[in-house]
Amino acid sequence: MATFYKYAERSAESQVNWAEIGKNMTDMLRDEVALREEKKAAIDEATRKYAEQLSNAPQGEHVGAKEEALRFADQASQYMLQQERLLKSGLLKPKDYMVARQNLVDGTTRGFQAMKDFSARYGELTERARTDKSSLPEIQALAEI
Amino acid sequence: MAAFTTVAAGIGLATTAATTGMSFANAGKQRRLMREAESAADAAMQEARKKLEVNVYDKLAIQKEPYELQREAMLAQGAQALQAGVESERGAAATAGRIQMAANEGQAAIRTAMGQDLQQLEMLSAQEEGRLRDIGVQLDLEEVAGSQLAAANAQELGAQATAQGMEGLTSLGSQLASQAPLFEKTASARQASGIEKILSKDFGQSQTGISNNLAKLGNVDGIDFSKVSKMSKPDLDEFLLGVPAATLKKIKGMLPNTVQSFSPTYTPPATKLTGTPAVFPNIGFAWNK
Repeated sequence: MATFYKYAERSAESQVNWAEIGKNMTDMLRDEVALREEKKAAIDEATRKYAEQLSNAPQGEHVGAKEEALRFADQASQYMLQQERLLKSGLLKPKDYMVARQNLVDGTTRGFQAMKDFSARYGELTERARTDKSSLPEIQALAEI
Repeated sequence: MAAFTTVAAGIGLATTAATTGMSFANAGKQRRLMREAESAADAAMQEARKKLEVNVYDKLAIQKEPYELQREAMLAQGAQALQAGVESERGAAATAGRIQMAANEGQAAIRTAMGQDLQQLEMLSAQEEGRLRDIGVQLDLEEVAGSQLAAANAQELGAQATAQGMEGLTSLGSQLASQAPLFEKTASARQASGIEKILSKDFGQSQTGISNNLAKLGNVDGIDFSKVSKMSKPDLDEFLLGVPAATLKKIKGMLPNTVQSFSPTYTPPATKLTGTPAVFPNIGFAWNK
């Protein structure tokens, strides 16, 4: 028989707040989904920037250097796409992808910088030869490049 | 570092799972305690109500015993008075009436006194019984109050434990979600991983051994595998991604029979013979299966 004699009042804390628990669970899942989307978006953005970097391969007057830069950019682009495919098909772990991608970006940056330096120096020497400021050994060295 | 991360994540998951389980167990225990306290409160209230239904004054009744004694004494006195009157010189007629009257008065006094004493005793007994019953009822009601408080306390603790358990569950879900791969494997990727795992883990093959074993298969379902031995791992993985999952599944099933060791350290497992040897004439012996 139910009785309320000397009923001990229950505080709000004595009740399980299922609404809050449900909200926390939903928020957790939503945050996780958002985080994953952010990570994927960051990967895509990094890829876009790298593709842009490759499309801006250094140009110059030296035909061989230009061809080499384009060949390098093409190979790097192929490797980048391969990494993307392996990552998004689940065969490459994001951690391994990040390491490989960073190596690729660093190598590209250094390679492009070297090509820029070469083109700049080659341009200077060509300009000197064009304006008859070069010495004979300079012209001979330029011809060998 | 990767191993440490994996171990740390595993420990984190196990800890969260354990504490979550303990919280739910505690919540269950508190619910049981609450039910027990409520049951005790109910029982105590029932007992108190039962005691309140008893009227101890119902036990009081008219005292008949003094009357009985008085009647017996009166009869005895009447007989004595009559005998004395018979035996005296004055005769029974002269004394019987007076003796009878005195005896009646004495008996009346005794009867009254006894009745009063008995009544007083009964009243005291009833009062004491009532007092004791009131104390008992008070104790029962205090027990009710205590049980109610215990039930409330158990409910509060149970709610806290449940809330903690759910927090743990949320945390566990978060950890599990963060452990999930960022990109789900495609069907071909799953089969390719399975093939590489079998060759590396079960057969101890290096990356070269894996490539060579696949190249040795030649043409499978119209797909030429012979050139994969010269591929780097990324190229091999990309090649396998382009192979239908059904074909890779077929290759995976063939592996235990087709694999060859390309590793100088790999030793194939010895074939185990079971049963007892049986000797056959002109043959030697063979193994009974």
